[in-house]
Amino acid sequence: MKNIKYKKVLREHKNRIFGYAFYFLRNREDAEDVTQDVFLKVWQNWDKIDQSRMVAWMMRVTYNQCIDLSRRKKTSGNNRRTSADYDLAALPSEPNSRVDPEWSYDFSETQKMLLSALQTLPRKTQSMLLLHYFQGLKYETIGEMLDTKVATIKVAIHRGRKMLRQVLADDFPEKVRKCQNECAMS
Amino acid sequence: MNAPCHEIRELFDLFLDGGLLRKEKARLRAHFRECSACRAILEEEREVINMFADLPELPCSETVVQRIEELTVGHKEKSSLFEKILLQRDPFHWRLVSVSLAASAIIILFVLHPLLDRKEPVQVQYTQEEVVKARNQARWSLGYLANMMSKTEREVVEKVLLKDLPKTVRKSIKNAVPLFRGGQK
Amino acid sequence: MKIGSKWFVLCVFLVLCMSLRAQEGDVKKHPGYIDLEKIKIPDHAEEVTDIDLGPALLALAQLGGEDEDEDFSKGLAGILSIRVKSFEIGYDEVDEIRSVMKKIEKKLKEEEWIPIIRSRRDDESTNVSMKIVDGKVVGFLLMSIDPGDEVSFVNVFGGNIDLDHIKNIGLGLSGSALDSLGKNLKKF
Repeated sequence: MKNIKYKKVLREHKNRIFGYAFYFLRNREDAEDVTQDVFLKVWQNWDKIDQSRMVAWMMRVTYNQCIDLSRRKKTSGNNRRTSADYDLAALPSEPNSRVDPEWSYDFSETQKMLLSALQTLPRKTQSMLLLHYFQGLKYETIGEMLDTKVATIKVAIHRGRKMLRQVLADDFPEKVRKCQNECAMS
Repeated sequence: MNAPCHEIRELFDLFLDGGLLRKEKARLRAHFRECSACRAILEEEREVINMFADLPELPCSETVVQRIEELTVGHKEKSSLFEKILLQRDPFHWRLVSVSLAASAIIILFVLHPLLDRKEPVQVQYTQEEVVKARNQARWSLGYLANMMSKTEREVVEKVLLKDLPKTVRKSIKNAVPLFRGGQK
Repeated sequence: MKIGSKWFVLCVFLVLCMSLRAQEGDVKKHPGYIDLEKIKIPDHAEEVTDIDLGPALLALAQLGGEDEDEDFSKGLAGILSIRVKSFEIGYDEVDEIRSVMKKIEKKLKEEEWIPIIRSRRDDESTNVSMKIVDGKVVGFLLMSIDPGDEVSFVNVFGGNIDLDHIKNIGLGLSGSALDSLGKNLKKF
């Protein structure tokens, strides 16, 4: 019974966990490692987890794993927070034995713009924005996940959005205008 | 009079999240008709949110999923007790197993050794009453057995064989009662 | 250490179970042993006699005898176990008992027991069988059924059962003496 339920959880949420980890860490291999660690922890703690709060639990573990990994990389000097940090352009063609040749994604200019702007924000704010606007999680779920009050999350998201808006306007004014036109037409 | 801009901007979060009441939404829209600055900010914020929504859901590769399954579900299914004991590579584990088996063998030999010799009666704690009862029970059981066999034999000999057979044959059978020689009435 | 300690505890537990069952196991393997456990004595049955005397108790019973009980003591000498199940049986329970008896008969045939007495009168029947190993009598089984009256199963087995001594015990206890002893057993 546990096996069947676990496999179902794995299949349902693998992309969510991986996607969140990727956008947080900006590296595919790291995101895969985090995904594996998260699901191993789910398996090991299966009997202890409240099944009705599985998503929040998994996202929390993912967030913690991402924070730990990025701190380790920072201390080892591997983490360079620049606008070119996302290995977006390298994804389709970079030769790497661990990269699945079937997996490749071509991000649009707008998407690359957003991800670059996101990097300039504090980690926690990035996380909250991704969780709320990308993952679609409610404030309450995020609060449970990050062990933070809902009011604090609302304020953080509000400020984060404002900061993003400013970064996008400052660094990519032409592109933002282009995006605005594209959005208006769609 | 239109609400002040700072008041309106505080409602942007709710407005964008779809949590605003209809009445408040109407208030905002009325403000936007007259305030292009607030409208522009709202539009920018909406675009940022849309950009997030446009981010692709990245598929986790099947290789990773298979690896996870091997380490969890697959590992549990394959690993029987037999494999857990015998396929361990940890030398410390083997040391523990061999010590446990040796101790068990010693205990088995120590406990069972006296029971292998049946010549001596096994000393068990019974009360005198229990022994007397057992004696009576044994006497009764053996007596019952003997009587049943004797009675049955008599019935067979007297009522079946002796009834219909010639006298000489009857006599020889009577003398040759198989079990209880010189059988009694 | 967790794996080692778990295995150690398991081994000790198994050994304890084995030692507790060792004696019973020895008895059950005896060629003269017949399993009478499947015979269920009905809850409402009267005149129930259920005797189970194992090697230990019989050995003590043999030692505790008086001088005039020489035949009895000698009769017990070669006996390891006495099992008796006897109870009143109504007509509606007869079929079940007969089917048990048939199964036992089949087992006796497979194990080459010698039928000594086969008596049948009306619906009453008595069967006595003997097990001989290396020229020695090692087992007796009596099965007797009288519907509406009584059904009895007696299994006696040992290393060397002396028939003469058992006969003498029977002579000493016949008819009313046997009945009297049977009733007195209930007082204990």
